Amino acid sequence: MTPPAGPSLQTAPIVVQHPGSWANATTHYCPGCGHGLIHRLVANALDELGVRERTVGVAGVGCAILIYNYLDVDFQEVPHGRAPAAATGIKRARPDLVVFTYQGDGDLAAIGTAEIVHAAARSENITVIYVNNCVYGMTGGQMAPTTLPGQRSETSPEGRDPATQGHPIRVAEMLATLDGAVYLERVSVTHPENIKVAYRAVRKAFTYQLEGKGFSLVEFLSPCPTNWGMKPIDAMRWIDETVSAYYPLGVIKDREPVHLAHLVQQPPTAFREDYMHGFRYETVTQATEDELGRHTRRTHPFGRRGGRWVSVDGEEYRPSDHDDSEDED
Amino acid sequence: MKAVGTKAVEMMTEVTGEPRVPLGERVLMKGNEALAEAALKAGCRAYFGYPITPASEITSYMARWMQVEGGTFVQAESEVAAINMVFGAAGTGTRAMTASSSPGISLMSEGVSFLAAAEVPCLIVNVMRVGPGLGGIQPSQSDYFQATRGLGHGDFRVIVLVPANLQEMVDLTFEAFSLAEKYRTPVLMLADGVLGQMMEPVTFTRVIDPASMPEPEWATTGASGRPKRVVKSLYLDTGELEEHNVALQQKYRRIEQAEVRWNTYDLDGARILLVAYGTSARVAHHAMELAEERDMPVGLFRPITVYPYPYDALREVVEERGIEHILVVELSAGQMVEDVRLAVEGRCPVSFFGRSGGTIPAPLEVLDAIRNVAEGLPTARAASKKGGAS
Ligand SMILES: Cc1ncc(C[n+]2csc(CCOP(=O)(O)OP(=O)(O)O)c2C)c(N)n1
Ligand code: SF4
Ligand SMILES: [Mg+2]
Repeated sequence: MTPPAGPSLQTAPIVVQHPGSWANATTHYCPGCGHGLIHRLVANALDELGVRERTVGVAGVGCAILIYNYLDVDFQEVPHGRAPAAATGIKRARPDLVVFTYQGDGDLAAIGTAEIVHAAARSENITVIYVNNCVYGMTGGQMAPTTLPGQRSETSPEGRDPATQGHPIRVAEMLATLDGAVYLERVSVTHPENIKVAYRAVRKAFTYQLEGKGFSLVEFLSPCPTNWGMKPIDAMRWIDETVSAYYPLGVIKDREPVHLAHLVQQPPTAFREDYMHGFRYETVTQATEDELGRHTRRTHPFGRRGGRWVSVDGEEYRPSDHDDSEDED
Repeated sequence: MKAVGTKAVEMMTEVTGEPRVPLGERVLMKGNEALAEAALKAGCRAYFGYPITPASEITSYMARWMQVEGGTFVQAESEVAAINMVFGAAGTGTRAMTASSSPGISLMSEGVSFLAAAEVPCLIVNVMRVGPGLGGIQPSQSDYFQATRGLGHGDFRVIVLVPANLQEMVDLTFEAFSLAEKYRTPVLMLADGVLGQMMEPVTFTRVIDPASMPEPEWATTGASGRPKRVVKSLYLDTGELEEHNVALQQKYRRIEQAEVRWNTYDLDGARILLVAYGTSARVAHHAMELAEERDMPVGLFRPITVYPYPYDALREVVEERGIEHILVVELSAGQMVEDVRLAVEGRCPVSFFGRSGGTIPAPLEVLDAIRNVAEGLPTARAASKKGGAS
């Protein structure tokens, strides 16, 4: 699937120079990781709004814990999952400061569920940058609350089975039910057009904070090529084709809920194989499995023993240019 | 003397427009409320708490008065959240605190470790109740190990203050914030259900205006006209981490040198020394008086800090006064007694008397234990007595 046409990187207004909020350090992220890109958008927004000098960030625990090395703003680094509580403390003690948290999906949607729900319920006037990469990146690719049905991970080696491992959490939609949540948008960074939308969302979330509107959260669908076992380009493609089918992009709530219809359309509990936008899971025989080999089992994000993902017109899903041999070690 | 409960305080302030609890006047207050009032007067401007008996009145008092003082109050969704809200607020250089009771303190331990590691000052209050588990809501001193050793993972300590009456609790609350800031460390006020719930006269003598306090040079307040600041505990480089840990340990040694506090009573001629803190020290003091009436040579040693513990002071008392036997009295199955043994290093026998079901021993019970010590008898409560063994 080719990304929709958009302005090229050269013409997009947000990538012309290093923002002042950027510390100009080399990041430790894997090639193709989404974190660096997302940091950059945050830095840009702080610059554009002119608030760098009164901003305090709160770093969640995850691959992006060292964000304070990359952004040139004050930071607090807090226990795993507790960033919204710490941000509450900062903002309440010093309402004049601009406060944001930067949290992964394990940090925010597993261990820190209580803190994010209650920060939203209290409508804390903070901005949450929530980076959903469907996996625990830092600890080596374990299942996250957001791991998709069928997705393989260290702790769902046969693919996440909702019958025993539960269903993914759509954080933005979940928070949308809370009166205190003011602005919730889901974005991705898969191509320039999406990056532009994502940047506008980040800027808007901070603008709302400056206007005192209350709690806002921007959920990023972000690639983790390392733990997805994909090349960076395949990871982006997987987000476009599959992840954003489960987690629809767009404004979920802007003071009024605006994007909850899809929840009504889908049966909430059953494991639906057509979650994977355009692909469905097909059980295959042992013989076919042997024939498909490791490809379905290990390198395919949804590969499960005895099955494969096929598109609606019967075509097998394979990351197009994935080199199998890389996965041997 | 005025009795100052929440309602009375409210009326006084709202009807007469007089200050809530005037300076220099003896007022009768409940322990938890006196502590909260002391914190407000000490310039605490951020409180985060989750209700739990027997500490709840602190949170309620703060809910009523913190905003009036221009500070911030949040009823947190859990003690886990509360301690991290403290982290955030204290990280901006604001005097911040939380209060809870035993199970809630257990939930805070990860956060306390982070606060200690990131060197963020704050006050944590534990109005101890009896455990383990949900245990009960009655007073206890069974979180001594946790307070002095196990308040979280890693090589760290927090300063632990153990008041024995409400005036001392009020005074130590002021002290707690200064110590926390002086050493950039969390300070734990280790009270118990008796101190939290009882009423006693207290006098407040001063008010600290937080606006008069300079912004600490490490606080995260926005990198305006200075390099950014990071409040953190992660050190990926092992060398750097060890340096950090060595620095923390040096700080603890400084605290051990300078901040040990204790009190002694009736040491003249004493042969038997009671050692007790907090509420059990009150009982022990009464028992000591009963013993003296019966011509028994008994004195009392009362730690006011249990980290740092007055090891040297206690050893010196034993040596200089020729103490022949120590009896440690606690509302627990025997925790501080281990520190007493460390202090005296076998110079004299150390016996223990404690109750661990939430019951406060009567002074006469302690007197019995003193008699047993005097007669060279074991002090443990016999299983037959009132049906309970310690
Ligand atoms: C209390 C606690 N439990 C577990 C961990 C280990 N841990 C560190 S990061 C992490 C998961 C992070 O995943 P996520 O938030 O999704 O961030 P990502 O690395 O994927 O960006 C875990 C479990 C921890 N640091 N603290
Ligand atoms: S493991 Fe994943 S989330 Fe972490 S740096 Fe690598 S690509 Fe990014
Ligand atoms: Mg993640």
